[in-house]
Amino acid sequence: MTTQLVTFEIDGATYGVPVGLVQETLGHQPRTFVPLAQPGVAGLVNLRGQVVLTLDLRPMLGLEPLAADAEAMMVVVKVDGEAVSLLVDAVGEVLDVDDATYEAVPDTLGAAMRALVVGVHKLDGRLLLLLDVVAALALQPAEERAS
Amino acid sequence: MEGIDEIVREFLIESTENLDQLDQDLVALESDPGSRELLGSIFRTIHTIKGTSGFLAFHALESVTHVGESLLVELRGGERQMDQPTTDVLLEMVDTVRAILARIDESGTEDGVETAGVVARIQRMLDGTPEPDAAEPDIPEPDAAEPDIAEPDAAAGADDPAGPAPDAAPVEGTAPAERTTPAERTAPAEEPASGAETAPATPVAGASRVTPRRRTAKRAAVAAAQAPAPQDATAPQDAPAATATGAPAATGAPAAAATAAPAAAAQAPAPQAAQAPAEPQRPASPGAVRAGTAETSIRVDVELLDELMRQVGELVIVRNQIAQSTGQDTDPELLRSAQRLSTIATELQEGVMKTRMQPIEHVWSKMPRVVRDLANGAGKQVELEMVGGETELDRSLLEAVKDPLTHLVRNAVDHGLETPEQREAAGKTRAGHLTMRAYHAGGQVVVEVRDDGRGIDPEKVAAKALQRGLRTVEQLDAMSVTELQSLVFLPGFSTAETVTNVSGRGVGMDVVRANLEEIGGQVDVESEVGVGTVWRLQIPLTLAIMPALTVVSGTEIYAIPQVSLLELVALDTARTAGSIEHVGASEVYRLRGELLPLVRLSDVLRTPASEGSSMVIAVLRADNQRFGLVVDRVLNTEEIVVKPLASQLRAAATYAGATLMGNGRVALILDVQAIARRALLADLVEPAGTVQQTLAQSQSSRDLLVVALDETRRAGIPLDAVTRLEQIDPARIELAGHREVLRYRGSILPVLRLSSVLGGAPAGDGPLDVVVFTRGSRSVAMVVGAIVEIVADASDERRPADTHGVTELVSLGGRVTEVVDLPVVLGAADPDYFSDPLAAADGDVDAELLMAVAS
Repeated sequence: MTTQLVTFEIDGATYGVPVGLVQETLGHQPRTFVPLAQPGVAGLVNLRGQVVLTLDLRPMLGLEPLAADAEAMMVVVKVDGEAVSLLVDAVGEVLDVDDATYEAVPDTLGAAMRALVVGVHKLDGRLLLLLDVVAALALQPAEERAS
Repeated sequence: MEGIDEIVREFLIESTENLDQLDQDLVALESDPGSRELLGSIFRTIHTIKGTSGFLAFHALESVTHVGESLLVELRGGERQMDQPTTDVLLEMVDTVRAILARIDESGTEDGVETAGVVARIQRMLDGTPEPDAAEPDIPEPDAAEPDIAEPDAAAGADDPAGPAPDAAPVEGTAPAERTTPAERTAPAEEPASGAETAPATPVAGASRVTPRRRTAKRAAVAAAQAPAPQDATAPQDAPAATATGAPAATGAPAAAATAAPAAAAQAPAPQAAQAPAEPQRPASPGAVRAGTAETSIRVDVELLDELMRQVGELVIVRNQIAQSTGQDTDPELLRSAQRLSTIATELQEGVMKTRMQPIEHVWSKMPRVVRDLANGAGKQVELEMVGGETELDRSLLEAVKDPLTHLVRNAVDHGLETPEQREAAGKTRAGHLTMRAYHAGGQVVVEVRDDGRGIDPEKVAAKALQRGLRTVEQLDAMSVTELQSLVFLPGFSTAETVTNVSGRGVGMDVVRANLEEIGGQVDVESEVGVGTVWRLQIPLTLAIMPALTVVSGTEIYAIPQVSLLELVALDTARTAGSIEHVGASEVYRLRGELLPLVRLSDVLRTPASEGSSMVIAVLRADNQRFGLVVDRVLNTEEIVVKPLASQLRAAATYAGATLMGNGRVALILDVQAIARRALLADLVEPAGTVQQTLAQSQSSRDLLVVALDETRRAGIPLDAVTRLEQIDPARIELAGHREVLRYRGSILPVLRLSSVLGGAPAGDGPLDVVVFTRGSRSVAMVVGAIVEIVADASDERRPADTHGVTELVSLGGRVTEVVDLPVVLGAADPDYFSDPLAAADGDVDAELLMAVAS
């Protein structure tokens, strides 16, 4: 059995989400800043007439958030009928990964990533982290989940 | 099976609509008992429901409508006059029918709704009159009583002759139901079972009852359907005699009726063939009207309309975009096309919005019933007038104003209008007038609920607000009558147990206000004591597209709903520095001589304040308060399309939604009410900020309650020790030994007069301002000259005091104020006040204060 994953990079690591959840990938779009929003909310974008929430996963992965004007690419995922866009450094290819390469996350993984990464695919020369999209959209910053 | 479900659904929708009409008609009929038109309409509705329920095998429903119909026939025939008991029982029938319909809607079956009671009551009413036909001793059950009109439509026959219908539903033959079904379907415009013709009687006991011809003559045709039901054997008293009339409700489609009739006849052993052909003609006339309506209107799924609305929203945005980019375009051809597109888009938008519009009558139709029941219960006479029921509102909004409106009407009847005796004594007509009026004004729909009752007494409202700790004496003194009356909208102003004897108004008015605000509307009240009260609801026409003001703050564009906007004040660079003044830490602006509290949008949003050289004050209205929202720049007013916000952003509670600008950027729509409430929180929660000019206190400084000792001297009391402010009648202070005490909230408090410790004029005759201190289980009531205000003690001018009972002197608002040494002063009233070990933490006092104020 193989699974098709859309891959992207955040801070040098490669992540993947099932292709069925991904609506599209986009280049940089101007974002409208949302004051008073939770950490991880990177703004709102106009996606062909729909107002779509944009998330920056970095705070949830325990990383420094992107600057408000950073020009990031977007992976638009659709969960429960609602489209949400994730900011990524670069969008990679769509990969067919074999279930045989799958492994659970190592016990040493930090709590922040453990909550968002469900498993790892061992690819040639690199690791592909499988992202839990639903957990990511719940928007709990890393430190809250840790506590 | 699906076909049946569809039929049931249609039946439910149609019947529910009809029931609303029925309520209205019945109440109207009570005051106009002779109206054949109303009776006819009521009869048709009930008959239709009955027919269809039989057809769909809802036996309980059928039995209820059946007896109701019997009663209506007597009314229609003139054998019975409409009076209150009759109306009561008929309304009860309508309620029961509604309950059954709701049950069917919920569960698909009619089980579980109690019907025997109402059936029996109607039956008793029928029996109560000397009806020769009714004297069938052996058949005490409902339909037996009025046999000549008992009419289970053959077409509506039950599938199962042994079917339930415990209260003696008419039982019909099996065949007609099935056979009629296709026939009915061929005539979709009519109520399925209306055909109502009749399977003539099987020669059972009941058959004879079919014979009376008096009424047969009146109605076009009567045919008897006699059920050879198994019940006959087991429970003879149930033996349903059934006469089926082709009642007027047999709308339209004579063809259907004709087909149905033979079908039924074929099954019945003693066909009264002559009646069947006669049948269709009568129904045709009322049916013709309905058929006309059916041809020009169709039912459309609401979801489809919502989807259309959404797409029109998209079109409006594209239109805005094109309008923006063609502004500079020189190609006249393109310009013309763009203008044409703009016009079409506007028209389309209006058209689609219209499809979602429903007259407010839909909500009003329930009011006559509500008013009648309430008035009867309270022993009042109320004349209800409804004007402008055709005014239309978006259906979602209509749904949202239903409860608030009902609440206001109830309130008006319950509390606003007086009893006939009181009214007479006041020189008014015995019957109170209640007027509901709807009209368009300023792009909104205004709905008024006006009564000519006793009005809202501002004095009583003020007393109530003071008693509940919502406002201080000083604040109340500063308020206009309208402002006082508007206090009824405060959360916690009214609770059911006390409100009636205070203001007579205001039960849950905060809920009414909250409901209105949720849909971007507002509510206010105008009242004159002894003359009456007007509640005015302002409701936006639609939620999906609204006019808004777009403004810039920092780097982003925000939209402010036009509904909240009163005016704009532009401040230029040169004047800005001087024109914004400060009260404590709060900024205010003198707008035509009155102080307008200012809220900077950048502060609300916690974004960096801009260094810009100009600013604009958007004067906004929220909850009867005005405030100025300071923004950098105003862009435009435009129609914006409201997009819902992602759930992750709702926690911020600052935005009402998002929208797309002409340039494609997303802009947030500000929730003005939420911002006002948060920014003016000090005003709402603490008595602290509520002296008119003092809006928000800086948290760093200590707050002092300033009281007057006499004309010239002022004293300051640290606010954190204060539990409550009261105004009491001097007579309430009693003597115990040589000490003054006050019974207060279930305990006896030592009374201390501040003037006796610090000197100053003794109190006059008027009400006394009292400051209550509570620490642990001990409380002291301190009588002060007058409560002046609460201010932040941020003064630099201060010196220690050498007077007994005073810790220091500070300059507040340009006057020297003596800060009270509480341990000394309170110790004079209760030596153990500060030494008593505390059970509760100190913080509890504050919490209690706030809760008392906020509750």
